[in-house]
Amino acid sequence: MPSFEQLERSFQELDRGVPRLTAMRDAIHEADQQQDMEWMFWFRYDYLEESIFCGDRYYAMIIFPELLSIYDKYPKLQENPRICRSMLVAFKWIVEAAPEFPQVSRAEIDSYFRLFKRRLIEQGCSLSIYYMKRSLFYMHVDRSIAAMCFYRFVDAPLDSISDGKALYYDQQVQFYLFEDDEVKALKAAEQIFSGKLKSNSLPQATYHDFIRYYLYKGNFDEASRYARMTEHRVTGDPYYLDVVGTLMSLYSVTDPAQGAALFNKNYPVFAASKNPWLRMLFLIGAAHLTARFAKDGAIPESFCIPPELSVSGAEELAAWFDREAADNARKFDDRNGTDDYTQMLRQLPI
Amino acid sequence: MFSAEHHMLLIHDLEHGKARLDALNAAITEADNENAHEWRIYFRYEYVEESIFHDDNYKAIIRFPEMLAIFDEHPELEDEYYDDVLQAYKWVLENMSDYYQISREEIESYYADYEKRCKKYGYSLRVAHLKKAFFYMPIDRALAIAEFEAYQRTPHDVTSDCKACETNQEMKFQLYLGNEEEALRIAQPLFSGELRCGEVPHVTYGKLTDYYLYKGDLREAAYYGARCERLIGNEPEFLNYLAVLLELYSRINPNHGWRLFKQSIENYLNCRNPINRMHFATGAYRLLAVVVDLAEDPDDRYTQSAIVKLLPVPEEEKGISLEKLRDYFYGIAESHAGLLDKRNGTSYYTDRLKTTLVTPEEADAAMPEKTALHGLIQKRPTMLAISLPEGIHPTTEELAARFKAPEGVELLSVSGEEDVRINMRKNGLLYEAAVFLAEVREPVRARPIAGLDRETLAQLQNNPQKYLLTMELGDKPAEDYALMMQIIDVLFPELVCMADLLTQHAYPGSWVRFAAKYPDAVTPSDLYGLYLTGSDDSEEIWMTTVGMCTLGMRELEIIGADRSDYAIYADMLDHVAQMCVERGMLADAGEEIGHVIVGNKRHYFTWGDVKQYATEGIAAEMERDMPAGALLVIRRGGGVTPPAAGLIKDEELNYPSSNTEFYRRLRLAKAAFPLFAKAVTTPIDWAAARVEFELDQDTADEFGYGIELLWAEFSREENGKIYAKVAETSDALPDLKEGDEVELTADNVVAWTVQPKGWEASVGETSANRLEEILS
Repeated sequence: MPSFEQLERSFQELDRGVPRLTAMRDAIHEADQQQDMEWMFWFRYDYLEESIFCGDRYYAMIIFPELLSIYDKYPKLQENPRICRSMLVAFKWIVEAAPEFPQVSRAEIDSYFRLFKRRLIEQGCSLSIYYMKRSLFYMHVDRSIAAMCFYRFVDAPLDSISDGKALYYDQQVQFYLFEDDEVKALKAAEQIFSGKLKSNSLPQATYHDFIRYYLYKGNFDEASRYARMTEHRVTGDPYYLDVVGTLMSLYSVTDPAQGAALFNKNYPVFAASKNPWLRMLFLIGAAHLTARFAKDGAIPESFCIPPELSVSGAEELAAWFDREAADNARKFDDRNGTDDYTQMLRQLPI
Repeated sequence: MFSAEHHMLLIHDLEHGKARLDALNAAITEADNENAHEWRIYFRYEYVEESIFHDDNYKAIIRFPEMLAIFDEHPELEDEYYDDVLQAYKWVLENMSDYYQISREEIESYYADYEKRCKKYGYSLRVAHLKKAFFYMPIDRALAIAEFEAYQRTPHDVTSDCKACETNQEMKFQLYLGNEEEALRIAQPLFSGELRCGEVPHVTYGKLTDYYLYKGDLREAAYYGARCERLIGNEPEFLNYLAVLLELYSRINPNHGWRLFKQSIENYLNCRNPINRMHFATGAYRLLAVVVDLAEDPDDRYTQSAIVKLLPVPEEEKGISLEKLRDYFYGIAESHAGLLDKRNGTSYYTDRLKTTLVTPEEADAAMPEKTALHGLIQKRPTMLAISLPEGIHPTTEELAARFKAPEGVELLSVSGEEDVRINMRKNGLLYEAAVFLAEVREPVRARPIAGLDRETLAQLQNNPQKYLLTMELGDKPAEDYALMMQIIDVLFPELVCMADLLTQHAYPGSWVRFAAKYPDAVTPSDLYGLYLTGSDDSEEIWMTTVGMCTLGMRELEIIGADRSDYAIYADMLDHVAQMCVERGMLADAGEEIGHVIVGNKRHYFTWGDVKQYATEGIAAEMERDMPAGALLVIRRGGGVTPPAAGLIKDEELNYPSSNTEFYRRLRLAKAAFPLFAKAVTTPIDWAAARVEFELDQDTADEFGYGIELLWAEFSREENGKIYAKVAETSDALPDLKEGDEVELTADNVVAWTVQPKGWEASVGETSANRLEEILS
């Protein structure tokens, strides 16, 4: 029987995503059996991290309450600074992921945020990350709270739990574009565009902010400029289905054939994803793209209609995606108490 | 319909201070009317924060109890706002004792309530003990010490002050205990910049100024005062430290103090914080007492200053009486000190007011030994001599009538009597310039630069009648020097040449006009000069900077150079001086002031007492003549050696390049691009520009930089557009070939150079004033 250390090292040899998650699940079971509290914590943490970055976050939502409960149940874990910090990092991922599941109510999300804030304070950490994530969530819930959190975020010092300087500026870009302040957004994006600040998700996430902004402003040239620098960085990656959705919306106006190719490449990723928010944004893009086909009266030859949809013809295809996108958007809007996503769907760029 | 978002966006676009406070007040009123309790708390928190950090904290004291009451009335908001409430509570508590209207019992009961809440939410009492220690300092020494010790025992948490603030307060407490050495040891990370925040080390220097001033050590007080003044600007939240500077300058430089006094009058008038008003009144009283004593002519005991007239002292026929102004401030200081002492049950503030500060002579007699050798000294005003064509002598009245404030500068007053006096405000700071006609019999020592011919310079040197412009440079000396060029440009359109009497540089009129139009034309090396001297009977060359005193720094000199190597050391002196100017700092003797790479090793420059090294030869003679010098020495392996002592010979010296300088030239090249564009339409031998090419993201990732710079040679001008052929290639731009044509614009050009037909040398953006003759 390998030791837990060996077990953890062996995860590195597996492919990311489901294979690793499966092995980690087994490791969790083994640690539980042996009631080894540290490894009960660490395997769940590994599992949560894998789900966040290489899965679709669905499993992270499931494992997190277990992780929290183990941490709270065993005070000895709280004496280990590495575990304390990891707990906060896990909490950060969860407050970001929770809003992506419409079945998680706003009250539950608020309670996660409250608990997160309390724990950050208890451990003497900056509230920067709390305000950042809360501002992001509230952008589609309550604009005033989003603004309040944003300005607090900007003023709060960054620390080791924060997302780093690059994402600090990307958040500013998102907020200023949300407030229709293109000048401030471009200013905030300067260091990201110049390559001085980078992260795993940048610059593509920042490009995406601008693509969406210019797309819904009707400035398709500018949106296309950013799209050209983005598509190759996001296509085929389950993490970026939302960006693919936005690109399909753009191509529905500028180049339906390119949109069809993008759809073909990413539909399998969409079909395998369990993340409702990413799926919804993909569906909105697909709805826009297929609406364009319907308007043109023909589906491009290169477009592969997924057989499981059982549709034929452009009208039927568009109706299917429109219905699916609307259903998914409504779920989020109902939870958020707004109609942002429905509006996004209805604001057909074509 | 109330929209918190709308208010927030509006507020965050406003300047800090009054504008934001007014906007926050409007948001509070609307939130109150709408019973939007969450926002009633939120906007009050923002209001308290703004009042504490960008005003005199009076408004915070008023608003905070409302915030606390709303919070207590709405337990449903507790989770969301408890940390904000405690944060605001801390800020208010540390300022509450400034108000004599709040009794000691009330303050103690607020502390008790704060501590109860900290315990409820699981916070440490560290900050409460620290603030109480400072509250008790002027009241009860034993209680203050007990609280400070409790603070030291209590763990840090998120409510604690930042590390810089805590260190500063620990330093202050040690001064209170009389442990000067320990205080300075504690403050080291603040001095070195390792720890800093929005108020620290500004207040650290302010406190040390106060400490040494009352201790009678004016040299140390002057040093810390200069550092404090550079940081606090004219921000209202530092009014109490500005007051300390007034006290200091009443001893060592009343003229400078008078300018600071006028600069801060509006902040005093807007201030409703009693302790800050008391401090300012004390400083103003001490300064005015000296100014009155110095005025031998009774008429000089009046002022016509428009700013001073804002004060509630009745104007008389001759203006505002300085004696009455002195008495007014004494009255304020005395009454406020009395009220604060009454509340505290002590005589701390009154005793302080009655303390007689030492004079510089008394301080020198009492403390002949310097405790430290500081690089920063009192600034001297810059003095420029102006040369006009023969026969042109505008009167002071005519000059005053000509004056118009440059863009971004507010003109407060301009008068033309015996001399022209110009009062301006820029970025909240007061600038006073004076222009007068003087007879200067002594020869003007100056080196012609920026294309000035020797004949024109000789005319200036030989004509004893000169207009002189004097002004003290502020915290951004290059910008301020450009402001002086703008003043000359406006006052003297006939200008032929100008000489800086301290840096010993002389410029043609075209350069002054160029620098007035393009402020980035002023470089750090315009702010000081180099002076080299030797003798016929010696190989020795002695060199020094001149004009660093206008920046508040000692002059630097090098000894031991000779005719064979002096160029190396002149270059070294120039580089080190430039580093100091760019940083605005000449550190204390023994500390690092710059570095050079020799081979693969980094050598640090520092400086030491000249007397220690200049014991013979020209250096010793010059030390007698120019005794304020600081000697540039190089530090290697812990030892300190004069650089010209044979340590570096025949080796390549690599000085660090300056980003600031790079960007200054870049801005200048872009701003002055129209001159290039015009010059290439005239007969030229050749012209070229350095062009920036933005790399795509993937290429930038591969090469590690996002912009490529390549030279391109001017090829043609067509329909107002300028084209150039790329003269070099780059691996990062494989599609761009030598000879490809690109359009030159102010956006893509980062440097340029042009050689007009028949000229011996080319002209770049930094010397573009020379293009004037072909373009006009």
